[in-house]
Amino acid sequence: MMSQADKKLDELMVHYREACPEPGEAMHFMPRLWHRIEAQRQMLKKARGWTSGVVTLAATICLLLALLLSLQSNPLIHNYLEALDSDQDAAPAIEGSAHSDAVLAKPSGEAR
Amino acid sequence: MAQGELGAGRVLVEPELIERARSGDDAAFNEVVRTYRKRILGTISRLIGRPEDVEDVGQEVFLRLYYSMEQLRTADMFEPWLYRLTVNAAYDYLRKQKRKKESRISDLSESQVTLADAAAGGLATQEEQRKSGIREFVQKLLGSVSEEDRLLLLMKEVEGLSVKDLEKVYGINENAVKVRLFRARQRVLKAFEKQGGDFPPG
Repeated sequence: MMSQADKKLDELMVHYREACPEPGEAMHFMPRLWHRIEAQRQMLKKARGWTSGVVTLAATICLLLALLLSLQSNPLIHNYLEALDSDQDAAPAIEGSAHSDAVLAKPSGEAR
Repeated sequence: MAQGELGAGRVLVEPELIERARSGDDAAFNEVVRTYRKRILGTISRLIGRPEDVEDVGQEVFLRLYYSMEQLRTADMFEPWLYRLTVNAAYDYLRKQKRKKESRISDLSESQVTLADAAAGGLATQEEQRKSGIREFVQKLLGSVSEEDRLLLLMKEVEGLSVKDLEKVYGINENAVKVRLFRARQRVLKAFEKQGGDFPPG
C-alpha cells in the first residue's frame, strides 16, 4: 500500500520531468561533435605514430646490441680458451709455490 | 516490446543503419546521432538537472559512442548500449561537479541565478522560476543518495524504464536492480518527508 508521501513523491517526479527543459535545435551540435571526433582521431594517430616509433627504436637497439655481442663473442671465446691454455701451462710452476707447499705440508703436520 | 527497445519508446533507427555505422560509415553514424540527439539530450537534462551543461555531456556520450561502436555485438543491443553510455557520462559529470571547486556564480542556487537573471533582464517568467524551483528541490532530495543510485532512480521514476530495461542497461540482475531501487527510493522518501512531504512553494 502506497503512503501519502509515496504518492506525492511520484507526483513530484512527474513535475520534475516537465520542469526539465526539452533540448532545442542546437545548430552547432553536429559540427562540434565531428570536430571533437576528428581531434581525437588525430590524437590517436599521433599516439600510434609515437608508439610505432618507440617500438622501431627499441627493436633497432636490440638488433644493434645483438650484433655487437655476436661480434665480440668470438674474441671472448678465443681469449677464454687462450687463458685456459696458459693456465694449464702455468700449472706445474704453481706446484712449487709457497702456497702449495703449505697445503701439502699440512696433513703430515696433523698426523703428528 | 522488441528486444533492443527501451521504455523511452520505439527504436528510432533501422538495424541496417546501426550496422553501417558500426562498420565505420560516417554518414550512417551522423544519421544515428541526428535521430537520437533529442532523446538523449532530454534524458541527460533530467539526469543532471543543469540545463546549461546538457550539450557538453551529450557531446561526450556521442563521442564515446563513435569510439565504442565496434564493441557493440549486435544492432539489437544498440539502445541499452547508448543508455549505458549516457548514464556513465552523466555519472562522470556528477562526480566531477562534486569535486569541482564551485566558482562564485555557481555558489548561488539555480533559482537564485534565475532570480538574478530576472532582475538583470526581466527575462525569467514566473513559470520558469517555478520550474527551476522544482528542479532544485528534486536535486536536493536526490543529494541524499549516491550518484549511482540517484541515476538509477531517475532512469526508473523519471525516464520510465522498467526493471528489465535497467537490467540490460546496467548489466546487473533483476534482483540487484530491485534492491538498489528500493533502498534509493526509501532514502529519497525519508528526505522528502523531512522537507515536509510536499512540493516546493511555487
